[in-house]
Amino acid sequence: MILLEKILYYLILAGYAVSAGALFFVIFLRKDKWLPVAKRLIYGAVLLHTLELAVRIISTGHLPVKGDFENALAGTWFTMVLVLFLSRRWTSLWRANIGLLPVVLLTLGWASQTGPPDLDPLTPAYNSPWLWVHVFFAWFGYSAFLVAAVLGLFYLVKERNPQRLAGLGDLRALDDLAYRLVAFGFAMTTVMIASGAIWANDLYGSYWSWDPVETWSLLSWLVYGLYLHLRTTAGWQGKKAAWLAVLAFITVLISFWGVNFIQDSYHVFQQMF
Amino acid sequence: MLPDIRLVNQISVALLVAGAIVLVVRASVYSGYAPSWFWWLLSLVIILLAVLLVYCLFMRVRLLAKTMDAKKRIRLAGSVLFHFGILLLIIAGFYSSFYKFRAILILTEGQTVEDVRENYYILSSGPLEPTDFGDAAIRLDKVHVDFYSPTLIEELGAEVTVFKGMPSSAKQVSTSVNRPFYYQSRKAAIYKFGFSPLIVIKSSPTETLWTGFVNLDLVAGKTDLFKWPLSGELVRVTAELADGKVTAFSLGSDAAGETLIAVGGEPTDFLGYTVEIPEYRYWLGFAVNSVKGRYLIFIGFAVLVLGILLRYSLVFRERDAV
Repeated sequence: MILLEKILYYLILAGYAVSAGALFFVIFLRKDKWLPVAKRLIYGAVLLHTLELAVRIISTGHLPVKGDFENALAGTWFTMVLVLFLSRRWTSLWRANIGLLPVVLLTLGWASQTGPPDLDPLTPAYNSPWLWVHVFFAWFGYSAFLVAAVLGLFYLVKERNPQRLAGLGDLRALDDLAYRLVAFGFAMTTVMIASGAIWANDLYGSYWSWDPVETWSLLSWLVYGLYLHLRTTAGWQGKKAAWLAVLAFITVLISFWGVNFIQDSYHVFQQMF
Repeated sequence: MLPDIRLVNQISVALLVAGAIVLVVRASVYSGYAPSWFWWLLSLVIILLAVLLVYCLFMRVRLLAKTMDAKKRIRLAGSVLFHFGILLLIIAGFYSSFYKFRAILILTEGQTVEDVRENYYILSSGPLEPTDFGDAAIRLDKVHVDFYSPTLIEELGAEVTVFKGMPSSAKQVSTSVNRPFYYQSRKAAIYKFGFSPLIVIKSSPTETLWTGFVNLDLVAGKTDLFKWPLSGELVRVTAELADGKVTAFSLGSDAAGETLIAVGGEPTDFLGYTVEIPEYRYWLGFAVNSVKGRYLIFIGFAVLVLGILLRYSLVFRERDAV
């Protein structure tokens, strides 16, 4: 990790932490005048996050796809960019950052504890155009599922006590946005699985190897498919859909982080040759 | 008389839940190896799913023909395509499993092998796998490898010659990791890589007892085992690299300890014999599989993705999606 990266990294952590603090004042202490401050802080932190990613890409010469640090850096960036993009239309989403920022902070903090990131090049296994497609859609898909899970959680809290989490919009709006995000994430992960299978066939000579990461990804795709299916055919909306959005995210957590605990996974490309 | 749509929906939910449970079992209890009953169960779930998909497709196509509303038609068309894509992938999966051929072909630089089953380490094959492809042979001409460090490879590729019948039909192909080559309805992808030292065992300076290239998996600082040809004892081997070249191999056993033998260097005593390593080559393990059903899989994926984008394109754009 070069010095500039280190400085940016701690600035990002500080930016997100202070933003979360400002949102705490807005949501729990009803100090609405802090909201513009929180917005500016989030914009600033995301800008620094973007710079950090750019420095990482320039210094390593490859996409940030290797190891926990790079995956956490890119995954959290995609989440924040997605939220900023959606906040332009769904303004209540600004306040939902109170649930997302702790996850982003935990992810970044945990990744930095798993070992210093190196500047080594990628092994030949990564050298495929499908890598771009696969990880780009994975990051967007999983980011959408994360935001949907957080909204589902807020729905469940507000449904029990409508006075809490003021400003996050009504229950219907939360349910509607969670549904859109699940549909978006489902489309993204469909492309992720399809591109991953085609890439795997070029790399290992097999579309599907029942690798634990593959299987968990397919499982999460199936569970989110079930969410959409139940919503369309059985009218699962509101509380039931919120519970499903929260519980389904467990499968995403396992498929995204589980690889760290599986040594013989095909997804540990750095050890392939 | 057609079954009630509610019942069909309930069955489809039950099947999706069953599929999820099967996947959880595969990813946790049987993450490494699954017994045969698991495959039968999985096949049963998939077949039931396929039957249900055919029925739902039939229903949706009928509904599509009756629907006049443009938005509903787009949603329905997307849904039809999505489910048709899944059905195509299920058909492609079963079709390719019948013609399946998954094997590893190991070749040392300069080695030529005939394309016959005996030369493959077969991982799995389907009941209808074609076995007679006619005369063919494959030669690994040259391996290109760039080491970033002694334990990290940056580039890996090879030149391969494929002969079909007459030697005049020889065709040279360049291949690298992620860029497989095709021959005889098969596809070969670089899957494994290693060093192959030429080990010469002598009892005296003039009497050679054994000589041969030994394919070892020593990349990234790994240690591999080699069965000593004269006694069957297992010998540990590691490689020492400098500037992207192997300078020496270290041979070790519990009885003789560790001995470093320089490539192209002086003969060295090991296990009571004189051992030389005049040169080394690279070996590659190619993952070879049948390409049957390939286009069906591509089309299935394309239809699936197109369908889902069409189905939810309106959800992304509509002001109120609920």
